[in-house]
This record gives sequence, structure tokens and C-alpha cells, in this order.
Amino acid sequence: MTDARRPESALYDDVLRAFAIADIEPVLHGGHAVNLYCPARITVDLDFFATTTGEQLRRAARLLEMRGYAVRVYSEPGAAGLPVNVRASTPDGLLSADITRTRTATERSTVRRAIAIDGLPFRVATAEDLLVLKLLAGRVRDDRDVQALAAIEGLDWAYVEASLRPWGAEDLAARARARLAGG
Amino acid sequence: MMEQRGSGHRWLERARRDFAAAREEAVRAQEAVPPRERIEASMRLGAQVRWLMKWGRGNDRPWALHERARDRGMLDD
Repeated sequence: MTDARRPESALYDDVLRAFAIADIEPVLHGGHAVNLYCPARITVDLDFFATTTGEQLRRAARLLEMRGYAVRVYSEPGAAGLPVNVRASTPDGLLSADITRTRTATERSTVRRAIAIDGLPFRVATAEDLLVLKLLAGRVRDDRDVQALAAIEGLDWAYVEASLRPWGAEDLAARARARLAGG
Repeated sequence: MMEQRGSGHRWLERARRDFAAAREEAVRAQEAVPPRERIEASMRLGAQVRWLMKWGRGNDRPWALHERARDRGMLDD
């Protein structure tokens, strides 16, 4: 990372190169994906999903470490010791990219349905899947994204509700719609 | 007092219209920016804010959904 590129450009390129070498097909979700559908808010970290093996994630982690990034590999016993998430951060800690291995039907569906957007070398989660993920996350900071996504015209609410049902959370969609109707 | 309240109301309405117009303009400007540049601009600005405000990580547990899935028996492995 001693090159002249801006740190955000370097991270963007280096992460995608590492994924390509490790044969990982990333799908963008999180705040940057939301920003591609809605008026932008400030968000920093790149969030990706991939349906991939733990070994591929380890390989990407090694490559990013060699590029000078601070890399954290998160594993847990329930995942047979396989990595669940890899985070690469710039040495100053100001920029990060996360890739999380899909382990639920919701994440797999997000990856399967993701769409191509001109100018991006990876696919992006659909607005409906982003809304499902944001509703399930349910943090205060997700609220603005939920409101912005819910306001998108032509949203497939039936899909959103069906995706939330296995989580016992279909009421979240109804609540988001009610808030929208209430202005 | 009524006069002041009336002019205050008009000022507020005008400010609201100006804000709505500025927001529409900003959205149009945003849409004109290619997606990669849009992502990088947000990263750049966000990193500055993170440095200035000593923000922590955006999401320190990206696997939180997996914990919820485990509790419901919905985890793949």
C-alpha cells in the first residue's frame, strides 16, 4: 500500500483482486448497496456476501495481508472451524471491507437474486433483499435505510414478507409499510 | 403577533420548498456520478468523519444474523 492511489481506491481494487484470485464472487450489500438505490448517506465500510468455502476466504485473507492490510478472520466452532467473515482494514483503521460467507437461506437468496449494475465488477443485492436484511438487523442506524428502501416505488412487498416469515418477523414489513403510509 | 406568526409560517414554507428543490438537485447530481465513484466518495467522506468524530466500526459483528439463525435452527452448518 505504498502506491499513489487514494486509500479507498486501493482498498476497492485490492479487495476485488483478492476475491478474483481466490475465486470468490462477491455480492455487495450494506450501506453502499443501499446508496445505489436511494439518496446517499455517508457510509464507510464495504460489505460483501459470498457463497464460498472457508478455504477460499482464507486465501483471500492471506492475499490481503500480503498487501499490507490488517486482516481479521472470524471463525466459530459451530461453523466447523471455517471462517465466517474476513475483514480487511487499512492500517489507520479508517477503511474496511468485509466479506461474509452465506450461511442462511436469506443470505443465499440475496446472492442468487443480486443484480448487475453498469460500471461495477460485482453484483449488488436487490432493494428487497437489502430491506429484509436491514429489517432483520433492526439497529437504530438501519432505520434511515429502512425508510428510504421502503419508499422505493414498485417494491415487491410479497417477497419481503415471505423472506421475513421464516424469521417470525413478517410484522416488521407491515410496520414499515404502515409508517410509509403515515408519511 | 399574528403578523409575525404569519410571516414566520411563510418563511418556513419557503425554506421547506427550497430544501426539497435542493434535495432533488442533489439526488440528480448523485445519479449522474458513476457507481464506483459514488462508492469511493462515500468511503472517503466517511473515513474523514470517522477520523474527526472518532467513530467506531460501522458494524462490528457482520455475522449477527447467523447468531439469530442458530437460535431458530436456520443455520446451514
